[in-house]
Amino acid sequence: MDKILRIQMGPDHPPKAVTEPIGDYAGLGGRGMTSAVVAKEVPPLCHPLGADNKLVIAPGLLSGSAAAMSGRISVGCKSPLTGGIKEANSGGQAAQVLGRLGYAAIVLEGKPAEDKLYKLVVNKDGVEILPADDLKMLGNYDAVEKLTSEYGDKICCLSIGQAGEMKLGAATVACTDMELRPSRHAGRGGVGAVMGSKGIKAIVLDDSGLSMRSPKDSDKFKEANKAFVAGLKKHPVTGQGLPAYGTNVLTNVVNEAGGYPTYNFKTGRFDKAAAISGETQAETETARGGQATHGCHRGCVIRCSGTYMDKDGHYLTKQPEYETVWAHGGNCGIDDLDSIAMLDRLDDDFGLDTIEMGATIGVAMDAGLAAFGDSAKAIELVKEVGKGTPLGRILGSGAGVAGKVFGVERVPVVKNQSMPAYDPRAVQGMGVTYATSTMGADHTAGYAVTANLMGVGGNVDALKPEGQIELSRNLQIATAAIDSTGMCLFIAFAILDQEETFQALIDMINSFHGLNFTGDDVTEMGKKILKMERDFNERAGFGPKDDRLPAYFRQEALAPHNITFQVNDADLDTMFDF
Amino acid sequence: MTSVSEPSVEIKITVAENRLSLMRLVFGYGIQFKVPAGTRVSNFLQQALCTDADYIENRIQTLFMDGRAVDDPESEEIHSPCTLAVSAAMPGVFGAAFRKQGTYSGLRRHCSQIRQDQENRVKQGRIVAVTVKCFNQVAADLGNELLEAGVVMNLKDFLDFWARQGSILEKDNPEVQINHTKIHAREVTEILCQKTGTLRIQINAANTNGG
Repeated sequence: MDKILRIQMGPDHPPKAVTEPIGDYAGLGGRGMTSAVVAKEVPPLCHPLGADNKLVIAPGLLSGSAAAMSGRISVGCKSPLTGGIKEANSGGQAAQVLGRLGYAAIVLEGKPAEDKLYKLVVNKDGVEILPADDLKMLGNYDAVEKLTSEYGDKICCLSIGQAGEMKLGAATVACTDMELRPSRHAGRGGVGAVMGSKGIKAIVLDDSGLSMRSPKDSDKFKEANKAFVAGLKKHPVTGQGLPAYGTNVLTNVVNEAGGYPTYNFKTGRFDKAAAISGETQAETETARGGQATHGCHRGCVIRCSGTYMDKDGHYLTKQPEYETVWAHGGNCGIDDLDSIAMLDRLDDDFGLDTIEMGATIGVAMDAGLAAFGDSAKAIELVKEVGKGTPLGRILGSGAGVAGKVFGVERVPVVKNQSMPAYDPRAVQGMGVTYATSTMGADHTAGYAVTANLMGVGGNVDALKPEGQIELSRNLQIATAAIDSTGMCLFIAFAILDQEETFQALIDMINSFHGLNFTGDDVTEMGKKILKMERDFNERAGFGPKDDRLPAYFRQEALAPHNITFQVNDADLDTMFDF
Repeated sequence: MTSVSEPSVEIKITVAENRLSLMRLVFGYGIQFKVPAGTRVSNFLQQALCTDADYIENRIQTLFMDGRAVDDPESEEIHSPCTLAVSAAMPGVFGAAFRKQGTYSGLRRHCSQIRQDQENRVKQGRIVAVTVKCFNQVAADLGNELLEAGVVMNLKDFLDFWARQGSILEKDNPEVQINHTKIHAREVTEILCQKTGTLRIQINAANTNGG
């Protein structure tokens, strides 16, 4: 991975591919790479859909190797949803294949002169940019089927659906999984719209004839990888809970805690949560001949996904994630897993962020477009997006736009990006992350790597108000670092509790690249990335007013605990004091 | 500590072994007990779930009393009717925040258990009703034995469970008895919807060895 592939789409020339050495970006992967390129090369005040924006697609530092869990791919740009810097990442096969093809990044630049669609084909023999008007306005499933029939079943694809072609704020970049289903998505921030603005419908990656990337110190790498896998397998979350129930294992528990945003963030409990829980979902899947335990890419040992079949036993979609089940479920008062799975399928096919769409439908329900709990109407509304009707384009632009168009005050967004599935009034530290993240409201921005292991922030007194800030800060720094490795963020659970598993990860990176990284170095990397992102956002016009939750979170008490968001603004403004 | 006395209905179902996990979904609705006020949460759970202190300490990593996280079940006491919810370790920031005595418990300090005021406590020794919800691996670990012994749950909750999952079970034509009378599985809803209160449910796995 010592080269960068730049696809220059015009407008002054026909689309062309330029391969160049990695240069100053050496040593960066995943979010570190995407944010570095965007921060350095994209004018912060540019229009996100204009020629000056760039879409950066980067595998992780260990992608394409035998490292377990190294299948995360990052997609970055200036976000058309937030207006700030964006990194969205996804599972699936793309990171591994791109790593084996030797590219540290693909950068889509410029804009075609004409309204034409292209596909990019990358294999061991080189790069081709080909017309793809035959894929116009196809959903991701149909587009991938066409590409598979043309290029065979050894490929993997990155693609956009109708939402990306229409350049909507909720548009995703889809990544195919092991079964060549476009079921994994770099979902947040409208990255698919930027791909659409470049006129690229799909990127076909084929690593046939290439072997895995080799570590500098093979013995040490093997040993570290073995210890890392053992750590993941013995941990109760990564070894048992996630494989058995997927991320949706959280539904019952978040609901019980009173932090499950329900009816567009009006209350913290959904009385039908058990019906859409991970436990119920797993039972439904196995009873219909699906799988409750399945990986999204080769080399995954957690296997938190699954396959969801319809009532007749036919594949409908991958196992909907917790965030999806919440967004289209409890948040909209919907308690029917089959409807939620259909909404997940439609989102994947049209290329829509399930969190953004669920939140948008919740806002639409508040506006009276449908009743809470009306799953049939929710499905109709999402289909409007696929059809590209005026209503669909409004909804596909996200909750912020929908709230403005329909005059709804309760719009759960920060930096115009919808909040995920944890009410910030119940988990106030999460609210700090929503408010201050460089990415807009994002639960993964401060995921979970212990401050003590990472050695950041010193000893935190979590019971003091400022402790919320310190905890969130430490988590955001650590997450930025982990996102740069290209490792699945779910490894964080094992790292959280097991020092030896964290060390095994460091050892894998060191033995693979011939480095001597320490935990402190990883922390520094996280800080550097956050500062780069923050700086970009400031140059794009963001200030303290953008690091705030919507006012109603301070005014409306959330049942059942009857609490409002209480972290004060002055404390929020200290987040980036490091 | 006893189960809630005199449920209005008793239902016994014999299901194929591979359907036991489906039946364990009833633990998400909650099972009911009565307990003397002042009982410590840890002691109560050991008895209610037929397990030991080690399991409560190590396996149950996430514990709620009426939606508030409990950090120390050894010292926390039950003083009034309440719902306890128990879970294994959970993923993500949320999981870390709500873990018992976890590093990140500060993130949810507004949702942590607050000791009840003396004046709000039921007199020591008086019997109070407790609903216990068991989620994820806890239900998987302990549920089969509890179901075999029999548990008490709200009849309305059972009807909701059956409305959602009964069709899967009905296909297997399981043996069902309500108040010692054999019925067909598809009659369950019709019979039970006329009743109110609580229900005692007992589940056995069919012997599939052919005798």
